[in-house]
Amino acid sequence: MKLDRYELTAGYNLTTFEFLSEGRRGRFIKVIQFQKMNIDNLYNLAFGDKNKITGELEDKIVTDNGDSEKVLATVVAALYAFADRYPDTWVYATGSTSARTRLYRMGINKYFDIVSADFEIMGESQNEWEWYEFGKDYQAFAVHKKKAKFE
Amino acid sequence: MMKSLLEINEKKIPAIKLSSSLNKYDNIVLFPDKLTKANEQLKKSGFPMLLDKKHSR
Repeated sequence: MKLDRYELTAGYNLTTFEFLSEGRRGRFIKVIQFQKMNIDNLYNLAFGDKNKITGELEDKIVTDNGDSEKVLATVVAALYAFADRYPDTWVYATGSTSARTRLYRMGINKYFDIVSADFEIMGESQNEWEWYEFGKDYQAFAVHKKKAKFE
Repeated sequence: MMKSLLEINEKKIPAIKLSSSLNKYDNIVLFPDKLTKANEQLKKSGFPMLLDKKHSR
């Protein structure tokens, strides 16, 4: 299954990515960054818009550009690229708003079969981590690329 | 031949255009509020998968 997604541009280290969202409200530059957290090998997935004029970044804007599924698929593609380059890392993700966290959860649920085949997925609920259960409500997520098995 | 074409089409790791213009962000935290919030949340919940190997699958 190939998901429709935008073309990604990245820095050489594959930690910062950009793409252009094109939809009913126009064209918006989206930025994704995998940021080192306070625990080794744990990276935060940060995502937002870049203002075309000022260059300022904003992660709480709701663009409402009618392409959220394509945007989500593009973020997942960046995750695949990052995890392929840094296979020992875990990536932590939570939305900057509860609506965005819900969007992440919907994305994981929608593509659960695809993503869970390649990634271990954990969910955080009330300050406790557990293996992700399909459909359950979580405040944050963490994923880790499964090791390839050679038989 | 068909198999390799199919594999390329279904490849999950995307073709990515590399641009040196994005290298400048390597040592800059974009969205710093988001990183602060994530680290604060992590203080409460910890992260057993990297702190405690017994949780490894």
